[in-house]
Amino acid sequence: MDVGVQQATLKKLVSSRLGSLAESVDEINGQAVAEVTAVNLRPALSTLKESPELKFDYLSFVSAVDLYPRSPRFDAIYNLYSTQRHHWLRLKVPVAEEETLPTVSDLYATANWHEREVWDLFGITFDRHPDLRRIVTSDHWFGHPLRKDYPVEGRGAWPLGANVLQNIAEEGMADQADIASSEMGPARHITLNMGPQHPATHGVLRLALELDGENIVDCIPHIGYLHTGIEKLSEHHNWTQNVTHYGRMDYLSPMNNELAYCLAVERLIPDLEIPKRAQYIRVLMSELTRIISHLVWLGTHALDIGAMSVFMYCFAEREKILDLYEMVGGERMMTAYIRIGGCAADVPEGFEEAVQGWARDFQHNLDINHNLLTKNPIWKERTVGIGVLGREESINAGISGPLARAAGVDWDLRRDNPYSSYEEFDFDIPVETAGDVYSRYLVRMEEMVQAHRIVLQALEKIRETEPGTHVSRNYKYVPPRREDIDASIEGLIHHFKYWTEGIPVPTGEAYGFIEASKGELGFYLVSDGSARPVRVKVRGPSFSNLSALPRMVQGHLIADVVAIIGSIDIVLGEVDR
Amino acid sequence: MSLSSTPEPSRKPSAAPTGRPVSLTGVFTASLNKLVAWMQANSIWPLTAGLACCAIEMMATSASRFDIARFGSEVFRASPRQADLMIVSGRLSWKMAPILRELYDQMPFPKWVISMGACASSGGLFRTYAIVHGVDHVVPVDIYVPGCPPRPEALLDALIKLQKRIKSGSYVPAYARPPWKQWLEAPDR
Repeated sequence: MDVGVQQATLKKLVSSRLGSLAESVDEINGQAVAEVTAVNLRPALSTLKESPELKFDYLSFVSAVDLYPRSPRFDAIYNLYSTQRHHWLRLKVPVAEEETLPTVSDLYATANWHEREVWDLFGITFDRHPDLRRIVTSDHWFGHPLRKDYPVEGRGAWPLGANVLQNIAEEGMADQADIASSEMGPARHITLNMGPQHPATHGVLRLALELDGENIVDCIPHIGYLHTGIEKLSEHHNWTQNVTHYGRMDYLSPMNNELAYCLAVERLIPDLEIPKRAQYIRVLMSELTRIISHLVWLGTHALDIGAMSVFMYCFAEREKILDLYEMVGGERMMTAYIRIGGCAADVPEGFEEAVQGWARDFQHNLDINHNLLTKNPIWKERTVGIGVLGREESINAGISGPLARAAGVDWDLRRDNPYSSYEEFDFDIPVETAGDVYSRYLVRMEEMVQAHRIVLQALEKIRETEPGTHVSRNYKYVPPRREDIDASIEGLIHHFKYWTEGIPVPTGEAYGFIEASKGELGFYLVSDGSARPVRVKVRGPSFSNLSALPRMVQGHLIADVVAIIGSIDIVLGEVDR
Repeated sequence: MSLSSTPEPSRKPSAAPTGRPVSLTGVFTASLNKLVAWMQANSIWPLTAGLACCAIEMMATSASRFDIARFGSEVFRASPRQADLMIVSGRLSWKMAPILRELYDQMPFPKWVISMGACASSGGLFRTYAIVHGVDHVVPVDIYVPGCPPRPEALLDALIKLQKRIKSGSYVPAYARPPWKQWLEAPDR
């Protein structure tokens, strides 16, 4: 069905189902948006979740926008998706500063962490939330950083000295108290602190584990040790400059982040056509990115479980793709190659041969790892049946990407909501049903093979397009080429406006999403027509995936925690942002 | 190597480690300072304290292509008690800062710090409320590596520079120089 028709029927369906629960149902930039009041929020969400035609069973994120000096001041945003019908809906709830919202964490388990984040960063309280604590900033933080009256550079340095250690000691005791209140009490159970400096937590993640012997009774993840304030910083840089932040967010797959952001911005700008060549280059780079991300995952995951040589093989293979990165973008990791309107430059001479050279050996190099692991009894002993999460539970917990596919959720945004011409490519989506660490391993291994297939197809398609059409020629949003600056006064004006003022993105809001290596990666943007965004919300897949960790580790051993963390494939830069 | 070992017959005198010790009839002599410095320089064990993007480049440095083992530093230690070198790789948040400081305090003397990348050195791109604008507010830094992220070659260069300083025998680590020296010796600490 045509996307436009689909949206119109969805809009009609949503307004008929919600009836008087919704204040209005609109279509903004091709996406359905319903406005509800705080009182009607829970009934509306239950209706949307239960209704058989709509089936909004997956809550992608909860966030807010500070629209100061508007009254009511905030808009709370609930982004919904149906993993069966594959359609999106955003709920918008206006909230005043002194008002509260009802929690929805009993309807959607994933809302727990998202609501904590909204409370932490905006100060919006959620009634009856089971655990409303700060999540990304420190427990001793003062103020709510994403409010417009909070300065981007903060309110002076934190006091560093003896009292800091005191604070840590107090936090540790608070953990003890949290855990002591659960059933058995501290007499038989011990609390073990894991991280934030730990070789197997893949970054600065801290887990407070409650142990009965070596069995895990409870697990409380503490995040935010890499909280960077990227969302706040994005409001203070212009649309073009912002591209550079996001590669540093999920630093294992930089180009995926850039692509998701650019797609969101391009959704805000209706008259910006992206040439086919640019789209194919984006697909090619984004699949290469998926492979390097999965290679780092495989290497470190295997290293955690004890297979050192896999790490060496994976990093050797990754270096070859980083060389391709360097060819197109000039740097090994943070290339900022994908830009609004296309790509920063055309693929250089010799790139095609280089990709083919890499592709020739890739399957063989992947087979080395297969031979080392797939049928290895030690590997299977450590992974089969570990960290199981069922299908319904995963959807409810907001889990996406390889993790969801390993649990039997047949959902991939590249196929179900194609972007960047993915509908023209031929690839399979691996789905497993066991939902354990081993099936996550199998899914990712097969995804690399499929990504390799897409890369070769993209290379074919790039060859058929005209060189030099790697970026749009709409100079209102794209820097003009040198020859156009020299030839016409308009070109010079565009050049001047672009680099001094930035680009005037039309007023509105949009959600751009991609199937990143770790799951659904999305950017929710709000623009007021100026050169800087009003709000950039990053929906990182790792954040939601990690929030299900306590359910996965229960009843397992400490050694399994290491395997399970590895299988989630988290990047703390994206979890904490 | 011990002070009075008998070298293998095939080894020429020029193979002496620093060039200074002289081999006379199978006996090495060296000043103890230099010998210790030589051993320290060639077995710097880094702490695995990866923070952000630069940590991935640090991992790449230790992997097969760049092979940090050529310089004797492949033994990344998870415990600060066994590490000599802290490579602060990535942006440091205020929430993480006290923990990093504690890790540093747990490392045995002598210890060195490499600040890897723009974020660690100055906060870099991220001039925000959450980030420490330069880890030298928290730990004494010996070497700053520019780049975002620095290439593995740059990190190796920093390591070699550090080795040279240690081998010289006269290098005073950052913690023993002002302003850190005064802070460490302050009576209320």
